[in-house]
Amino acid sequence: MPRISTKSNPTGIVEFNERDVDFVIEQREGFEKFRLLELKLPTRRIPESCEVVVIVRAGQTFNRFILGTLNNWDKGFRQLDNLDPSAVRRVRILVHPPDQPKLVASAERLMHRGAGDRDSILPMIGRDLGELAWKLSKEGDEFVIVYNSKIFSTIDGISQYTPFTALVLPEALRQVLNRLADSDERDDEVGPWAAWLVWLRTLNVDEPPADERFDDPLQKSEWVDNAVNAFCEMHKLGSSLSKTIIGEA
Amino acid sequence: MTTTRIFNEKGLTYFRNWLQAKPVGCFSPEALMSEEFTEPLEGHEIDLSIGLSRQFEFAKYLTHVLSRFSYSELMAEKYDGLWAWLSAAFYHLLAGKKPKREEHYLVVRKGPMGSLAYRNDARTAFLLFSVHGDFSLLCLDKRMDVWGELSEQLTSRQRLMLSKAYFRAGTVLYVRDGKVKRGIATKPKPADTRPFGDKAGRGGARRLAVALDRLQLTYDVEMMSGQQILEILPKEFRVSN
Repeated sequence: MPRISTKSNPTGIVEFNERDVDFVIEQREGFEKFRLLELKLPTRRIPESCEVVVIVRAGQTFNRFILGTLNNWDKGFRQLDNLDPSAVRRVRILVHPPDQPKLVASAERLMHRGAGDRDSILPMIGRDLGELAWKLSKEGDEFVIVYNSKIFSTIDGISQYTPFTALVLPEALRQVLNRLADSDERDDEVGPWAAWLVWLRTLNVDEPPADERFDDPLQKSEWVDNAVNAFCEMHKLGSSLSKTIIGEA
Repeated sequence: MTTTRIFNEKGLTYFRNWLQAKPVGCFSPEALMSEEFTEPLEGHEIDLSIGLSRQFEFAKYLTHVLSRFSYSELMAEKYDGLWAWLSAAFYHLLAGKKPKREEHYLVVRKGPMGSLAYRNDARTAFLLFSVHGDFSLLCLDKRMDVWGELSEQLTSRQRLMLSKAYFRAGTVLYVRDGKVKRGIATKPKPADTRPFGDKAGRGGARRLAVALDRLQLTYDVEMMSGQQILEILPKEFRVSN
């Protein structure tokens, strides 16, 4: 299939600005419910008669709702059924003219506030992990750092706690990259690795070989090491940790 | 006709132990109706001697028997005993001469490979027919005792299993005269190792999942008919059609 450039916008679909979309997912009367509160159009050229469709995803499960039109959508709560309880909720919002499937606007992979950092490639969420401080979890197609909410009470606290970021993030990244290196799906431009491959380019490391897997385990570990080192270098994680230790001494 | 029943904990343990020997033939009729192992699902009569040869017929029949429930209600853990009981009741048909692993008859939710609940033949057949109606033939056109590569591919990913777009498009592409074409589950070789001219897997069920994943970034594919989707799919699918 022909590759569509990610830099141009050949489809003409307008992307919603994340801060212009407001929604909640919360427990009400014993059920998990969703409600779309606000949807500000980034442009006036989209007719208000367009339909608003919301898809709430959790791992491999999803719920889909047709909420109404841009000028009159249902702002009430919708019950979420049979979503994977352990997976992060991600929301897609689609806008298209009535009876015409081609999208005119969309918002992808939104996370609800409080569920973690909204746009990170490796989001963090808190759960009670007993005596375990953190773990890497795969939820559907997505990797998530799960931190122990009994140890770290807020996501802001954890992301500002240098020992955690300096020690945990490189290890989490190493685990993800090892799995990427072993995957035979990584040439798929919309598959689970697509966003990772784009992100890796920002580190200026070589892409993994185009073959299905690395033939040589040493070559694989070298590639993973290089990427993790580049990440640590970019964010000066070693220096930050050193300053924290000296500051505490 | 008899009342449909649900295995309780004791019944599930008995059935699990019985499955370990990979038996061939019928499950004990006494255990199936035992007050000790089961509880009745009042108002849901079932004919255990009904002749079923294809999973599609089985799915249709289960949907009829359990019509008072919404499908999502029956997917909850508290009904795992129902799916195990139905698997036990139709075990001779579902197992055939070569019984499969236990997750095809029990609902296995936890394990080293994650949830394998989708592999419970009865539960998945019911779910597919409830969601997709006649389009579920795409995945259920097979003998009662067969699971198959296509079922594994489609049902192991719930997003795909519940995608109306996939089943509508798949039906237009791969179902002819009430039968699913052969070879549609073939895995295509990666571009760099594929011999020149090798088209195996092109236009197949795996590629359809990838193509729809791409198209859904531009279209609301779930609202489209199979024919509409076919018109926007890449050329390789038009060849296979």
